Amino acid sequence: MAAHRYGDPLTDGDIDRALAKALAVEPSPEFLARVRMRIANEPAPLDWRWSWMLAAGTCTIAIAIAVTVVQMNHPALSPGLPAKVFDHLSMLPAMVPGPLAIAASAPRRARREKPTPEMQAIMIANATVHAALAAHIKERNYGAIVNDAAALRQNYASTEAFWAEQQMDGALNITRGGLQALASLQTAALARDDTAIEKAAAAVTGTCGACHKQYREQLPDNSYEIRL
Amino acid sequence: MHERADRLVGGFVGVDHELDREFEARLVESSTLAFRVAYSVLRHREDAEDVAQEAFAKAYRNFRQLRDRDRFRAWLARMTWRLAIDRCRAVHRRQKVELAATDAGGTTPADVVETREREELLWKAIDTLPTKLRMVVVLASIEGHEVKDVASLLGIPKGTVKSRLFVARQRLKEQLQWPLIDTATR
Repeated sequence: MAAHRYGDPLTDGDIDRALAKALAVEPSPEFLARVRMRIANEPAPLDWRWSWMLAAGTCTIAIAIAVTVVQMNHPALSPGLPAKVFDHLSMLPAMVPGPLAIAASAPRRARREKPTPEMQAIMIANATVHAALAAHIKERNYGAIVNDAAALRQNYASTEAFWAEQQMDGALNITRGGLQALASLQTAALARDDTAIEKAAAAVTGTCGACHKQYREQLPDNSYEIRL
Repeated sequence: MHERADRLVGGFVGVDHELDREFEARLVESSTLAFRVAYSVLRHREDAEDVAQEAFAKAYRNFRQLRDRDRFRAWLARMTWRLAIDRCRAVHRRQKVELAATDAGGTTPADVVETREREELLWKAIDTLPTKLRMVVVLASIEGHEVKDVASLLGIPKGTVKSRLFVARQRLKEQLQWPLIDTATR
């Protein structure tokens, strides 16, 4: 290929290639897990339809109260207003639950089922290892951190198989993100890199939080179901 | 009455849950885009990740207000861009620019230095472009976007993208008089 020398005119292709090369950067393997952790900590925002409905309901109730107060305090004003208006307005509070009930029945409720005993055992084991991991990170016990990460990787691999069987792509992605974060945690522990350990551990926790937020439902008796 | 209340709560939960899943799918498909858009402004990996994360959090908070979900990537890209510009202005981190990792395999140290210098010059040239041109030229260089993709991401006609790309390339060519071709191809 003909060489470009200083001072040679550049082509569009040269510019495009240089730009593409300069922007061919990848985020770190823990990036997705960190984003998930951040989102897991975000409060669930209210649906705009619900916000509008609540606003409309509040306004209706406020108008009804105002009309009632005016009627009670200034009876002289009332005869001047058409009686029908008051009749209609006084019915408004009774109409509020109607749209709410219709809206409530509209969204589809997700299917839920009890986790298998194996899955329950994995989750309990995860909680135990996570607690140990936090302590080991504090103690800077790098060997133990490597072992914790290995134990969690094994559990995550079983979880991955479970989600793959259920064909739940979203949960599968989160679990795979967790596996990546665990691999980074092991590498960081072997390198005795405390900053990287903190980051990777936070990313692992993030995947737990994200998965629980989306796929776990706590029942009134404090047991759990899986949302499918 | 209790039954109605249960249904109401169930409805809220159902909507939350479905949207969370939909957001997760969008997150997976758009994470690299958000990161690269932020990186193109900040040129610092950690800052770019922070900003992209912030953009996703903001997107999550407002996800339900986005009626046309197919516009998610465009929405996210614009949000990330704005946040990255804000961050850039606030922290003045331009001096701590991290150059993209370049494949220096098989080249001499002199070649690596030369490649870095070129990249630095390229970014300096990009920085001189007005925002409209910069955004088009950057988005066109990410993930192999074509003109129609950039038009869709920015919500502008294809013709406008083409003309902006043309002007941006011309300006970059005027400023860059050094070889952009890999030394390995010489």
